[in-house]
Amino acid sequence: MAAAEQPDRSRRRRSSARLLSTQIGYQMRVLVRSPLSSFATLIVPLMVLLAVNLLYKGTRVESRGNIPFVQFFTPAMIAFAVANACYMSVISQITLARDEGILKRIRSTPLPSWIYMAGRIGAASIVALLSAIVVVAVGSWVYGFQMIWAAVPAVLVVLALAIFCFCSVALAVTVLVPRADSAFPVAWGTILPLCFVSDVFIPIDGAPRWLRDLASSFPLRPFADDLEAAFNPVNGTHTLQLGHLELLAVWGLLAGAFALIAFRWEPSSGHGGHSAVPVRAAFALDRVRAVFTERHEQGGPEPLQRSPRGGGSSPATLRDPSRRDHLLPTPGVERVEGPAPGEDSSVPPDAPPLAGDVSSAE
Amino acid sequence: MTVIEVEDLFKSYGSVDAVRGVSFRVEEGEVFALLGPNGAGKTTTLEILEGHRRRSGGQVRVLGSDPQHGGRALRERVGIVLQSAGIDGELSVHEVLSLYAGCYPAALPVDELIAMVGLADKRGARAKTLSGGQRRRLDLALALVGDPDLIFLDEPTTGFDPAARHGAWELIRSLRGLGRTIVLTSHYMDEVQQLADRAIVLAAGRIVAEGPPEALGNAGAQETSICFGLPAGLWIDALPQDLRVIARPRRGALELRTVQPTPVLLGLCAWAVQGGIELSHLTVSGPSLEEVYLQLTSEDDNGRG
Repeated sequence: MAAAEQPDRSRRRRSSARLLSTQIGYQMRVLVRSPLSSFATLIVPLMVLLAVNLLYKGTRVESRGNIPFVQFFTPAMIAFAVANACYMSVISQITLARDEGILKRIRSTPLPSWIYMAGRIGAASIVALLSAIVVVAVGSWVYGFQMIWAAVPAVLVVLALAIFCFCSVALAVTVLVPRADSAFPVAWGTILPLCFVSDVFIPIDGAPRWLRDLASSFPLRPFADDLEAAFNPVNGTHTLQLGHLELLAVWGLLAGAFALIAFRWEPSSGHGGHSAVPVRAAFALDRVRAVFTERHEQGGPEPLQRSPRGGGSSPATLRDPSRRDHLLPTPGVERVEGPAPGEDSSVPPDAPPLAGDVSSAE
Repeated sequence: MTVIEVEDLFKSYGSVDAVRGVSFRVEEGEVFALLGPNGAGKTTTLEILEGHRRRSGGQVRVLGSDPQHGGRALRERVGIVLQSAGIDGELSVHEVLSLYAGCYPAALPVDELIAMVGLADKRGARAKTLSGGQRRRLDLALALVGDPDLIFLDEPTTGFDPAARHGAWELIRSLRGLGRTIVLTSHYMDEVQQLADRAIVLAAGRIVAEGPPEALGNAGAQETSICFGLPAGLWIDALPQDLRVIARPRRGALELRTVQPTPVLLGLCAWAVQGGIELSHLTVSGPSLEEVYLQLTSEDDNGRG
């Protein structure tokens, strides 16, 4: 029966395109239903845009052909929004899903890994594009950002590559993030310094050459520079710059390849799964009770003996080689009462050791 | 047809050997149980069969493939109840099942499945609002959604109330009735006695007993337990010498454990009748599976030191 069904099953598989669109829909639904993450993804770049423009209202950027600040800062915030949606959010969502065991469950279904990852990237792209549109709209309405429509085709190509690049890097970074609670420090700790040296928060045209060269080897600066150039009406250009696109593609492909090979579907050990300790702890309680009974019966305090088990390699246990005899009443002494009902004071000689000798296997 | 073949399976985590030379076979249509205390290697073994872990040594075939490389075709035929797998809390019961149903080529109708596990009135409820038992039922439904030939259940009824537990048992029996092969782990002897055709008992990564649940007792020492109470003022030391050495206090009474119950019982009764002593709550019982299990697993525990 089982063997005969197999070819039939693979014929009825859904197409990859359909699986992918289901995955994207699912990611989007989860995102929409958790208002906090939508807030962080959509609102943070917008807040920075509003606040910083307020500070620099009326100033001009000399190094960029003396354009109004908003004409520099709006494209910079598009870059920030994309990094936020594709890098920070992806890292935190994936590490959280991993800690909760959602990834492990997905791993046990026939869904191909690449479709899950592509679904993540797809959902992040939608959020990133939405976020970019909101930034442009608010920049135009509130501060008079001048939209250059001729630049849009080139900008879309750069955006697509950048989204792919940042998502891939994020997938790769999740491999290095041990648990969800370290996702934010890692994500923000890497992206914020990069923003400062990548023409995102401030133009670094006057910075030392080595710093600019260093920043240019990461994907954020070429991406931000391309956007800023595309929307610069004075000395900008919206022809595609090959060197920049290649850099984004190479980062994306290398990180993506690493993620496909090394991606971790399961929480790091110690997370999820139940601990083996409780049951053994109950055994250990029995042991403690036995030791105390023993001391009581001997009629005096005596230091608890710690003797190694077996060859001496195992953890020490509260074990007394002559214990069994002690559990029997001393001959000649009349014993009036037994152990309290419901209590079993007898401990077999082969009782398990104290919790501590527990393998972490399960 | 053999569904699972495990030959001399080894798994170590660093210096810890979690599974140390386990071999067994599971035939098609069988309910097979892995029993043992925490840390015995049950979940590790199961996760190797599921393809979640890589083995350190030995041979494993699941539905004819090596689970390490079985890939999509194998996972389409296997359903898994994981011990610690999450669900997106923001999705409803119906949405979660539909999402996962989409991954399988021969998925069951979602609403039918929801009714099968008794979550019909929770169909539209967000997963995060479910109680622990309801979550486990959703877990069970997720394992069945792909209409699998082989089902792995890692402690499928942990956290169930008694009614839900019996419901899950019924479901598992009906799956077996449909010719599905089921491999489960459990801490509960009664569950194994109720469900399993065959079981292995694991302790410290080794098989310490195997066979049908009712025959597992044969693997342990065949000790009979004789329990009785004595009148106030009498205790172990009042017994005749030959009984005194095998007597142990147990729950406020005394217990004699012996492989030769007839002469021991005769000696005890003769002593009591002679002395005019009434033995209260006198019981004679064979070892329960529970006791056999505890004995088996603790014996091995001691042996590994």
